[in-house]
Amino acid sequence: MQQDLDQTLASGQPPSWLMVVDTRKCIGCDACTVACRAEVPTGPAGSIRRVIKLELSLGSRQWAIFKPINCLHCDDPPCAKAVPSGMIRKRPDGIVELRLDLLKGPYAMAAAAACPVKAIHIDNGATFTQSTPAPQAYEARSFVEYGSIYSRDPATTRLKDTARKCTFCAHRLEAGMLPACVTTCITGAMYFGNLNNPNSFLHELMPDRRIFAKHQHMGLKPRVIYFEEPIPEAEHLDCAACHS
Amino acid sequence: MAETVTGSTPQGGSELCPRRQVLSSGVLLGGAWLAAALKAAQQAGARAPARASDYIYTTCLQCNTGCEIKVRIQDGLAVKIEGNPYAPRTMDPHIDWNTPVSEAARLAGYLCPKGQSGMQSAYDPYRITKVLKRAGKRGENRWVTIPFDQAITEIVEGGVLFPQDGGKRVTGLRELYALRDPALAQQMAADVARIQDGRLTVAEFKEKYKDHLDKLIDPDHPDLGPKNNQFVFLWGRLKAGRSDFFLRFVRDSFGSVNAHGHTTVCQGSIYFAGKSMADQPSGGTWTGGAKAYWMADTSHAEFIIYWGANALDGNYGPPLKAPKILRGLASGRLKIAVVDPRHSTIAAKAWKWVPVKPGEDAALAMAMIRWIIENERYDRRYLQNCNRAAATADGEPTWTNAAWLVKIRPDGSGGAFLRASEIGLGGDADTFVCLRAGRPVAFKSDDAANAVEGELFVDTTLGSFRVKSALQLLYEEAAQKTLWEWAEIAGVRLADIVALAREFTSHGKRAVVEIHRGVSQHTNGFYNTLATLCALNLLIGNFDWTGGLVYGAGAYGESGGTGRPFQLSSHPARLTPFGIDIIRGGATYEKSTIFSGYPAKRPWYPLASDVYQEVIPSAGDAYPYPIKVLFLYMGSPVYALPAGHSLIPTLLDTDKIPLFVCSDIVVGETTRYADYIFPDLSFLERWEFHRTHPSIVHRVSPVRQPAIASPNETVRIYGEEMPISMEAVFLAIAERLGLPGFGPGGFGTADLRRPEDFYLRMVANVAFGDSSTGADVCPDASDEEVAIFLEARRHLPRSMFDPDRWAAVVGPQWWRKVIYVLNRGGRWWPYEYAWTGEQVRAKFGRLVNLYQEKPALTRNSMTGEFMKGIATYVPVADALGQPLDHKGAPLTLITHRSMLATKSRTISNYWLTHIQPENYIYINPRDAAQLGLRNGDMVTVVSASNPDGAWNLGHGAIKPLRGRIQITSRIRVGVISFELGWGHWSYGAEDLIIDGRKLPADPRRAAGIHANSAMYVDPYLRSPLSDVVGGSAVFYDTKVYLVRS
Repeated sequence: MQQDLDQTLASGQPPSWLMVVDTRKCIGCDACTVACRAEVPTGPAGSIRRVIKLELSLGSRQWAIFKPINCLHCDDPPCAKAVPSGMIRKRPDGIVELRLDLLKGPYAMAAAAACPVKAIHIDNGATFTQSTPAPQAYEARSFVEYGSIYSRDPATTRLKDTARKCTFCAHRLEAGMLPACVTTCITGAMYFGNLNNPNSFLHELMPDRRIFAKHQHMGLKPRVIYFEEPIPEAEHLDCAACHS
Repeated sequence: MAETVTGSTPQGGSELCPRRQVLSSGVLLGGAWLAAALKAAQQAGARAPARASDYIYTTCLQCNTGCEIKVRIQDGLAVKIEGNPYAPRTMDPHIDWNTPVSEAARLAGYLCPKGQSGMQSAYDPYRITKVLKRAGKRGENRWVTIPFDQAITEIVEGGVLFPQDGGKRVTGLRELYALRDPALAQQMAADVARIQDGRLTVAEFKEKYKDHLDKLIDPDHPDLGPKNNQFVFLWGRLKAGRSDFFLRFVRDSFGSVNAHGHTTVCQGSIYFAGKSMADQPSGGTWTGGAKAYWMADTSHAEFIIYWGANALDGNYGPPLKAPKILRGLASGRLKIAVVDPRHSTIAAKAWKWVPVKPGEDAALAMAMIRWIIENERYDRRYLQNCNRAAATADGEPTWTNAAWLVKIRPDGSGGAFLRASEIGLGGDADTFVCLRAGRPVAFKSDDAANAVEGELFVDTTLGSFRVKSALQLLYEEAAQKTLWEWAEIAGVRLADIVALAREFTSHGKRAVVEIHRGVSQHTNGFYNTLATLCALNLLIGNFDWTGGLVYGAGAYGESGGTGRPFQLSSHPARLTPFGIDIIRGGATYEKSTIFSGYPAKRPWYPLASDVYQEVIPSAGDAYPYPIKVLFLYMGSPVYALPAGHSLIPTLLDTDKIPLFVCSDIVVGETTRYADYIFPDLSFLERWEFHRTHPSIVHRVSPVRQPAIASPNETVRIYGEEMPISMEAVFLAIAERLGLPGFGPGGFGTADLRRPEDFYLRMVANVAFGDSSTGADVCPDASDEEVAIFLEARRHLPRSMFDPDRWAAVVGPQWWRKVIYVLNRGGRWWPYEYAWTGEQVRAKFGRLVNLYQEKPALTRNSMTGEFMKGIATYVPVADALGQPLDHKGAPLTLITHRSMLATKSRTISNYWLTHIQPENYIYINPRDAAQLGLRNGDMVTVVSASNPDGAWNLGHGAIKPLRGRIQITSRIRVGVISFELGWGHWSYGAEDLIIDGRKLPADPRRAAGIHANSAMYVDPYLRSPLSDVVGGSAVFYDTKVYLVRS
């Protein structure tokens, strides 16, 4: 993966990013959830990455199924259609980019409501320790999102009422670093690469795996693709388990 | 900016947190902070943190896996923690150690969610930064801050320290530092050993030492040792480096035998069974076994039975094992089965889940053993080898005593091994006998020249001795019941037993039974371990094989050794601690002067040490003697132990524990009972050498080093400024008492005036490497790497990082090598180096005991009966061997770990509790239906020994045993479980009164249930139920009621 990224940056050619999640390897540990929060600070109002945990019991057999969810970076993003044009942009590299300064209040809510996987949340600017006897400075550290500087300093934060979601760690990609969730995944369940790179590992990874049929039916053209558990019973799961 | 955030000495702010950590108190809301922050960020621009100087590499301690981490520093604060790509725990395969740090900067290894939240343990709003002294009665949780020096004076000198206790005088450490002469201590220690062996009478001893009897706890019982032993040091989590430092104080300088760890609350019975498996014959006895055990070579195994081991949530541990397991499953290389009453995360990935009844693990193992033997699916070639030469001839690194002959007692039980000399075959006390072609053959275990193989199943008479082979004894144990009967006891399907046994014996040496707490934390934990880890793995002879059972490759010797530049154990006047310790660990009841028949007042642990649950209750019973001062370091026995509530009355009693001194980073569930709490450094602020675990086949030396500034008040000791820490406490006491081994000349010629004097030398030893000739000494850091090293530490105050002084400690020859190691956070073998083809490089390479003579010849101090030397099925029982009386309660209570919590110390991690705000009591739908419970109902847990369903914290404070149920088919019928780590009543979960001011609790930190106090209190001991053989504290043998509330 790192090689793919290095080649992409060296080539100077525009990439086409794709994230692949092999849910057979996912153990629902939420390492990615925390890595995401540390990399791109969010508050108690929501999470850019979450991991759905489902269990199935049929007869004497039990299954547990884990599914990490974040913005799918759809090629035809429903969120963009739900708000005035210019607020949500589909970039050439595939990333769905939010204009945080514009996408606020009702617009943010409209975008969030339009997402079929609930991957957008409304930030309230709060920190986890602001209600404690000693709020902590590390929570207010500055960070970069879509090229602008933000902070959760409660007095000055510009994140209140703002829509937040996955950026594919665009700021890391530019520096030659893979997305935080991908590097931290303790089972190697996540892959990230450039479909435009003819040498990308993605081309070998893709053909032999089954992609969850239901998602194809949704017509989203997502850039986050799931390889599924070989559990036929999983097809019987209620969509609401993930999508409500 | 840097000055604002990392000023060297905290000023102002609350007692809990100095102002520089406080964000919204008004001080920092003005323009200065924000402007500085923005400026720094703008300077960084949209740059992602790819610079090497943005990171400090250190070692996690969010759990005991101890993963190597890199901490990203921004504006002087830790903002993100990632896995270290140089290390096998967090990258698989890991990058080469010699990769420049500038290249490694943009690489991150794996890390679990706890590890990534680690800065929240340090940046905790409830962190204490000054010394707290209790203001009220013990346990009332009212405190005053006092100067560090005052606290040291009071603890050393004693006196009326707490007028509110009715003018009671407290004995200080100076009075307990009674025996000070190393030569005298050594002499007395030797004579006490002679008393125990019956070669010296107490009267003779008293006469010989008549001028020194005042130094003893009890002159009529010299084997209790000197008064120094009345100082007890108890720890929860302590790793190498820090343990070397602390034990240097407690044992070598102060001369107390009472330094006790927490092993038995984790998996003591595995450790001590492992020790017994590893013992080697020596002079007629068995010695040399380390407190250690074996795990799978996860990278290459084809079949692993995870038995009571949740390798994807705990079990040393997720980043280390998960990639190997999941990759193995995805590729088809690996198949796993899980034996656990609960369908754990790893069960979710398993070929087969076998929900055994809690505590009946040995029954399942016995059935497998019987099937394997009767179907001849064992490795005959391996088991026949009686000694090293025979093993070597077969290419086997290890051998076992399956064919060795054991003398049978009249009652049919196995006793000692037959010695060749007993049947006229000569030899010495270590010459044993096997049968070959019907004739006895003498051999020595470690003989590399004369290969001896023996018959496996022997039951005969030699001379006047009835003898059986060890494997015969194992088979007889397994043949006591039919497979069907064993299946009934274990509560599993016979077909599953056969399938497990067949699969286990279908992969040659690439199959493993890996066990953990689920096997050991029962009253029969020791024997469960012998049946599972020991017997099953020996039957297939998988020890030291690639994909088999491995012992771990250990760590580089940081404390010294041949050729290494610094000998950290050197001491100018080392005392020899002696006497029976407070937990009677490694001691033989019958040899003591306080033997008074069976049962003993409290159990003796001749095979175990570090019996965590025994320290405070023993102090409560003053058995074998009263203690005067208890130090507790990074431990919370009240919270962590099963039935931890049974310790509270003793902790509240200032007669039984006259002085209770704690080291902690917060006021926690146990430290709330302290007389004094010294703030410690968080794991991100300090030194330690976390070393390794059995399943790590690479030699690893992760270094824990300061990554962030400590918020603690700084103090001056031996003229040196340092933040308050546990080291600072010991250094200050040593300075006050003039203890040898610390301060100027602490190492003889070199000084030990501050922590770095100790730890940097250890780093230099790691840099030196393994070769005694210096052949693998590490390179010097380049100028660029030196610059990165300094730049990365620009935020650390001088009291924690003084490069000139650091360089002087190790000297110019070592300084750049030390930087090389510290820049990478340690040192590791290259990935491929760990295996030599079919075997692992780091081998155990010795005898592994299937039959264990030492336990077989040791009496249980409670029943007076001999322990067993071979795997056996023993039902769950109390200390006296009686069945437990649950008063009809229907549900067996067990516990488990979630990846999101470590027992007592992650409730401060808001990123984790945001994902799972509370824990649950998990119950099978059938049990829920029977009790009329619905998902989400609140219930109170009630048991025979806790009919009130509450934690009684003292002084009227109560924490109800109340939690929310979650109905799931992922647990066996009749069993309930809860995740450890929630249900706190302290650690920020209760209001604190400090200097008369109230610091309000955070309700998020009180969420959930901690049901340990429902666990069985041993009726005879009035303390937590224990495995009196292996020492484990018992978590899983209690039955409870759930009452809707």
